[in-house]
Parts: sequence; C-alpha cells; structure tokens
Amino acid sequence: MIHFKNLCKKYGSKMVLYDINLHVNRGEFISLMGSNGTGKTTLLNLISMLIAPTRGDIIFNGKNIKEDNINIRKKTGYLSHNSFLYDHLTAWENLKFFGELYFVKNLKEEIKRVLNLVNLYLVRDEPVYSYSRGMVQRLSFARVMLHRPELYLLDEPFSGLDKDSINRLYSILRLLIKENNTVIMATHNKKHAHLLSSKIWNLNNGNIVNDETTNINPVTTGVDGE
Amino acid sequence: MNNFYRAVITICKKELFLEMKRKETISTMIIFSILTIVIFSFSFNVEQVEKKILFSGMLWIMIIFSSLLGLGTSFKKEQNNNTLAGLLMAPVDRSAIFYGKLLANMIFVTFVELISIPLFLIFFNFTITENLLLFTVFIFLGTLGFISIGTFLSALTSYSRSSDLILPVTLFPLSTPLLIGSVKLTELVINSGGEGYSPWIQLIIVFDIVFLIIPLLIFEYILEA
Repeated sequence: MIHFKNLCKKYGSKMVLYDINLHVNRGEFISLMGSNGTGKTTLLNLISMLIAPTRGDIIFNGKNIKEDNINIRKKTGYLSHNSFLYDHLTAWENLKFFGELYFVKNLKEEIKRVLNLVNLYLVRDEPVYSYSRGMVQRLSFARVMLHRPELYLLDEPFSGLDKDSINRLYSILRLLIKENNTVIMATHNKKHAHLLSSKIWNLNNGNIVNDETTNINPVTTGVDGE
Repeated sequence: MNNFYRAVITICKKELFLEMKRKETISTMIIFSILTIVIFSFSFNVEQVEKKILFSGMLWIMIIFSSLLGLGTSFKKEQNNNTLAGLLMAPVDRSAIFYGKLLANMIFVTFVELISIPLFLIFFNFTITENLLLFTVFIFLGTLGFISIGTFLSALTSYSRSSDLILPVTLFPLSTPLLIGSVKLTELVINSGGEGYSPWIQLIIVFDIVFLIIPLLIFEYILEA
C-alpha cells in the first residue's frame, strides 16, 4: 500500500529522517516508537503531505504522492497533536465543515455515526472551547474517521484520554483493523503498541533501527492484554 | 458543481459563520471606519470645492486601513489548533483556501463599505447620484485588487514572528499603484463624471487580474514553505 524509497527529511542542517526504506501492506497496524525528536511526527507529516521530503519518494497504491496528492489526501486521515478543530464552532459544525471539505456523501448520517462512535453525540451542539482535553481528542478522532479514509495516521492518539476513553478508542481501532484499514500510529507507550500493532518500527537517530513483528491479534486482545 | 468551487464556497461559508459567532473582525472594522469618518469630518472645516479634492483620498484611507484590520487576522486565526493544516489536508487544490478566504474578506469589506460610505457622504454633506453606478464599480474594483493582494500577503506573512508588522510593510508598497489608481478614479467620478478614467481603470483591472491569477499558480508552494 505505501512504500518509502530513500526517504530523507532535513530541517535546516539537522537531518531528522535518513534514508527510510520500508513497505506497509494494506490492513497492517504499525506502531512508530522512539523517544522525543526521533522523527515520528515528521514521518507522519510527510505521509500526510503536510511537509515535503528533502529527498526520496513515498509511493501510495503504486502512485507517487507528489503526482496524485489530491486523491491520496482523500484516502488519508490524520490525527495530529493539534486538533485541527475550530474552538468557536460546535462539534456538529466542525464535522459538517470538514465533511463538506471532503465531499462526504450522506453527511448528516456520517456525522451521527462518528459522533456516536466517540460518544459525543449528546454534546454535539456545544462549542469545542467548552470541551475537556479528552473530548477534543475524541472529536478529532471523529473528524479523522468522517470521510472513511483507507490510511489512518495517528500521532499519540491516547494522550489526554481517561480510562473509559482509552477503552472506547481501543474498540474503535479494533473496528478499523477489522475493516482492513491501514493504521500508522506514533506512540511512546509500549503497552499500546504491543496490544494493537502487527508491526513495531523503532526510530532512532532518524532511521528505523528495529522492525519487529508482534504475534498479537489486536482484534481479540483486550486493553489489559488479556 | 466542480469540487474546487465547492471547497471555495465551503471555506468562505466557514469564515462567515465563524465571524457571526465571534463578531471580532467586522465590528472592529466598522468601529474603525466610523471613528475615521468622525475625525475627518471634525478636522477638515472646508468648503464644498475643497471637499471634492479631499474626498477620494479620505475615503480610500478609511477603506484600506479598515480592510487591513480584517486582512491581518485572515490567516493568523488558522494558527489556533493548527486548523490551517486541517485545510491543507483537504482533497482539493490548495489555492481553494486562498479563494475561499478572498471571497470572505471581500464580503466583510463590502459589508463595512455599505455602512461606512453612506455615513461618509452624510458627514461630508456629499451626494453622488449621477454617477453612482460608476462610483460603485470603481470602489468594487479597487477593493477587489487591494483585498486580493492583502489576502495573498496575509497567507505569506501569517507564520512569521512579526506578521503584524510585515503585512502592512509589504502590502502598502505593493498596492501603491492600485491605490493611486483607485483614488484617481474616485476623484474623476466626483469632479468630472468619470471622464478620462480609461488609463486608471486599465491599471486597476491589470492589478486585479494579476493578483487573482498568481495565487492559483503559487499558493500551494507558499503554504508548503
């Protein structure tokens, strides 16, 4: 599904990612691990086309993302550190705006679906500035799922969530895996990575130092690993 | 409708909707315009003939400075929660963001003009009945050019540390020919019914076209940078 060819990213004189050559198959759940500043977010930003690589290519479904970027953006959903949400709009208005921007069909039904999935339907008419950190994170996830992307890019999706929200997010992620979606998740949390992922990529000094395959079936494994 | 136009309208609608909720930009622009009118009307105790000379310059000072208040926040407000990145990820040509913002800015400024220009005429005891259509067209074309350049530069400067300073410093020199043309055209409408406007209108139209087309070609690269 995605192929990284000699991918490099440099900020000024600092090489953040160096010569990444990897392949992601459809339906894989990949966790990107590594300490701060190792390039996890940079790699997600590159795949989401928010930044351009210094060198190298990203091939998505056989097409270079530089050449077919509009179609590829349609198939990608990115949960970033930032929510990308407008504080003064309600949850419903935010999702309506993003749904229209992604030309989502049956928009009302889709908004209801994702709001129910993240358990925010009852507070849909409240402005985002009145939400807690965890609610904002869940709403961001609803925004990501709204246009039913094939590829999910998740940057620390569990940050700021309480136990109930983590459980809910787990069940949503399992649903995504069941539906054969591809997920690349950046995380610091080894437990989350091992419970959910089919592969773990460890980043260090701008390169993948370890590509391990887990034996976990994320669809059947519980939050506590049982 | 083509996806590009749908995205432009969606972004414009979002801008208007946010403004209806926040009521920050338009109210500031209107207050500034009224303040300018009051100050000008009390400062210049002049005869009707002199008023005709001063009118167009004062009118455009009011328009450009009140517009600047709106332009300054146009892209800057997308920094909160990095909503600009959300827009950039949309599956549409990224210049749609520029045109959506441009359309919204035009609506804001036109709304402010619809309130402030009649007030300006009342305070200065002026009537423009004969050439009202020509006057309206000239104001529209001048405003369109200024807002196009301003929206473009607002995107260009919004992520720099001193964007509040850089925007006017770059906008005024770049738009000077357009503003001179707009002032001249307004003056010609008032004093001679619009005779001899041809070179000035050509200048303004060229400016409008250039700054409406340039973003289509380079806006994506600007945002990437």
